[in-house]
Amino acid sequence: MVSDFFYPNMGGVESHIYQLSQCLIEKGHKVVIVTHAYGRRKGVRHLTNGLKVYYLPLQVMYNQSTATTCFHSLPLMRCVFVRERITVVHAHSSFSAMGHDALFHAKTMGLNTVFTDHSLFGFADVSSVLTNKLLTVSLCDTNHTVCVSYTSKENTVLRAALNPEIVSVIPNAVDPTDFTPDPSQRLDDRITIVVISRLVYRKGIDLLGGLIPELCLKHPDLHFLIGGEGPKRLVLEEVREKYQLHDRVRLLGALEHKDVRGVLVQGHIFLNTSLTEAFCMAILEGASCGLQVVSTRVGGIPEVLPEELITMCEPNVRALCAGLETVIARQRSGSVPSPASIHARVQNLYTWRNVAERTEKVYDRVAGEEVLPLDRRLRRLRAHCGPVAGSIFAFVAVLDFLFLLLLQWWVPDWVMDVAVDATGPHGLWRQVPSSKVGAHSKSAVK
Amino acid sequence: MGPDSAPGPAVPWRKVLWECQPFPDNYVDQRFLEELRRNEGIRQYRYWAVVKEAGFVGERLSCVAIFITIWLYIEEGLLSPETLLWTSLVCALLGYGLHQALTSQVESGCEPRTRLADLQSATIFLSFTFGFSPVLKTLTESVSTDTVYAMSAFMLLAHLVSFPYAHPSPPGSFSLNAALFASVCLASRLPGALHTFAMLSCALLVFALWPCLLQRLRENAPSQFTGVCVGVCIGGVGGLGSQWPGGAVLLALALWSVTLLCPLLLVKLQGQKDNIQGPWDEAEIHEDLSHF
Amino acid sequence: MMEDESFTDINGKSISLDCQSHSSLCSEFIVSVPKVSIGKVMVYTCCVWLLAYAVFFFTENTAVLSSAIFITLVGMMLHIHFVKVDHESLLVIGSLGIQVSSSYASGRETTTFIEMSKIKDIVINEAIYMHQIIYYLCVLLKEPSDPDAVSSVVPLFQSSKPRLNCLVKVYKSCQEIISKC
Repeated sequence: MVSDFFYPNMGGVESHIYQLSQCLIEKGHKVVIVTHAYGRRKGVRHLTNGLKVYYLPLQVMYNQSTATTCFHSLPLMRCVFVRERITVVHAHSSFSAMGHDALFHAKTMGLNTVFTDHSLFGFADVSSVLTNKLLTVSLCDTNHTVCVSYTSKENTVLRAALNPEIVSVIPNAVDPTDFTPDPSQRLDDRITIVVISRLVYRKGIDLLGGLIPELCLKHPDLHFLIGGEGPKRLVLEEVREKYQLHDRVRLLGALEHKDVRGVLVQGHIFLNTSLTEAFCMAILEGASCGLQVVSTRVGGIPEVLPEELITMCEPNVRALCAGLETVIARQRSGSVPSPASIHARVQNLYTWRNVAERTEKVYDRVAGEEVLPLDRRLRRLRAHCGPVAGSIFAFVAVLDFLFLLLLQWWVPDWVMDVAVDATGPHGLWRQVPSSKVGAHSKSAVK
Repeated sequence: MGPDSAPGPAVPWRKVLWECQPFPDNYVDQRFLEELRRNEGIRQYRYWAVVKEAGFVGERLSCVAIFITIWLYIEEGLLSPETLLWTSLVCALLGYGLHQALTSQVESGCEPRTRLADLQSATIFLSFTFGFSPVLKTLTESVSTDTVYAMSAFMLLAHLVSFPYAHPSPPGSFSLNAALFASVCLASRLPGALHTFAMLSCALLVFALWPCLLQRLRENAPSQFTGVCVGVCIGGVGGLGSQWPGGAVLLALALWSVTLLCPLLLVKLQGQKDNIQGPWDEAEIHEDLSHF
Repeated sequence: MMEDESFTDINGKSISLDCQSHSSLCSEFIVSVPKVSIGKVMVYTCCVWLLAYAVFFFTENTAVLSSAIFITLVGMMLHIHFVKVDHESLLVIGSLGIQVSSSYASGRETTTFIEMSKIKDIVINEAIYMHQIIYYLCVLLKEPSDPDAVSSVVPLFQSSKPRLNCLVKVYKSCQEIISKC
């Protein structure tokens, strides 16, 4: 698994990689995660159940994504791929330059690759035209692509000009044991609406700022509980100031993952105002905690929850207000299902084990495929990515191949020690916890 | 539900994730991409309408050419500063009258400026320009002439690029400043202080006041506006031709390409446009949320 | 005395491991690196001199040549005195401590001793070294205030950098001795 995004960074991609890896280890696979160094956290670390993480010292450029020159990461990646005897390279997130690098190098080294796309992109502006072209190049010879929803699949197929047959849809999941309802935490004299998201434009915080005063004027017992941090916090603070809602709108700031459940169970209604979303984990967590979910009808959200569990509105203030009003009325009249019944309905919809099983099938299919030799790879690049970009990247692919030959001459494969397997078929981790490899999690970089 | 597991049974596929459907994960349904929409809300341009709009750009180009022509005339001594000043004054008064006439046709909601206020600002401008023209005259003496020409060419270009063609009244501050900077540079190379003053008041007329009048004209009398644009363009080419025929040819070419060729390209290439939209697009907030 | 197997370092050059078991609680491990080869010295010297001669050809300054001779000699001396390690040894004495010494090609020796009371454990660890990921043997030191915490890590065989099979052998013997005391 390769991605720029992993713990200690927090987010949907990070927890996806972690949970998927844990489930794959449980199924007897060997999983190694490669990411870039976070501050002083660099080198090799072992997490729960012997999940091995390589924090490679690569330069971070923007938004925790590494700078890419197409080549400089090859020596270290090759080292990881060779010593861990990797058979399938799985890159995550189209924002991760490291993931794209890994796909490219893996193909140069003759490994099969899988890519998971976690986000949606438009087609309208210049930046998306460029990133889409890069994605086309990157996914040109990737064996299989995984998307988190059908909308995301359509989007990725269009962006990267892929054959839809090699794109699978495997949704995200939540751990239902982490998100259990607890109605005793709710206050009965009021109705609490919970919002948990990063406070950025894409999450529709402007809409939230628009509907808060409107609803608060109509319903004096309505309270808002908002978790998350971001540049749009100003909008909410301004609204709170202007309408004197300090006691009814509480801004909790950034939340740790373990605190999310504690906030969710205090609410009656979960509100999501995103403007775009590939697969919304937040509404799933809200529903799992037994809340009524109100959300905008964007991206892959209509696919996530059955209609009886979610109220969907068009992304504008009036529709969201109307949607919330109906749910508030239902809540008042007591005609909503109990939190426990909602939880029972949701808990088996998405499980990581199911995700791992389906991903495993993708790996099985990919492992049997042949890797294109260099000449056919070049021909495919030029045929698939257009004459200009195709030729440029064909040239880059040739350079990458020559660089690999140089490295193989300099440090031959047989000189590299094969890593001791902590997980997988011959995993030592479970039998003797600290036999050979230092069981402590600290490791120095020389 | 791995890829390529069982063949699709008779149950119809649904675009939902919460159900365990008897289809492989990489199943592609008939309905794949059915929500894709192409070229939604595209604008179909008509050639002559675009030409009319582009005429305004050509007019600006010609205005700059006219300004340079006047400068050439004064520098060569073919036009005395007194004549220029008197002509400017007459033009300004005529333009002011026209402006007032056009303004009175539409009742603007805000309080109109009084004549006295207009006169006041005109006096301030003129007296300051007159008082400072000896200073401006010697301002760039230590700078080489090449640098001054290069700077004014650059600034006039900046004026053309940054001019707010959609709402030219009042002219954008950057474009106006760039144009005035260029005219100060050029005026400081003239032989006397009166020359400088005449040149600067002419610049104010061409770059600051003329676009305002033209905007009124565009709002209230579109047919005359087209005529004026054509007139200015012809005047620009003709004027420049009398001093510098090569430049006139270049200007004519530029005008032709801006007003006729570029709109043609726009209309033709519009057919090539392939814009795709779908449910993955970021929703736009159409309401004005500032009042909340 | 144990038999010598053939071992290599992380760059594929052969090294030799000499394990001497003085008693059940005391063993010494010596990793020897091959001597400086004459060929390599010749190649480096030739490179410097050819470069110097090229510079001399253009500048026609004889100081270039004499400084080249000087640089070669000083460089060689510094190399054998500070960089080139002839062998590194690890002496483990149960209940007393660990002595780590490395002797340079010039004959200079540096020795450090770590008391057993400060040592928490000896482990094989992984690290990113230049463009490679390697295994290395290291001594974990205890935090004086908190015996369970690790205060710092002392890497062993830093210059010779043996590969995993060699490290495992040393590691096993070390663990035997440490576990006894």
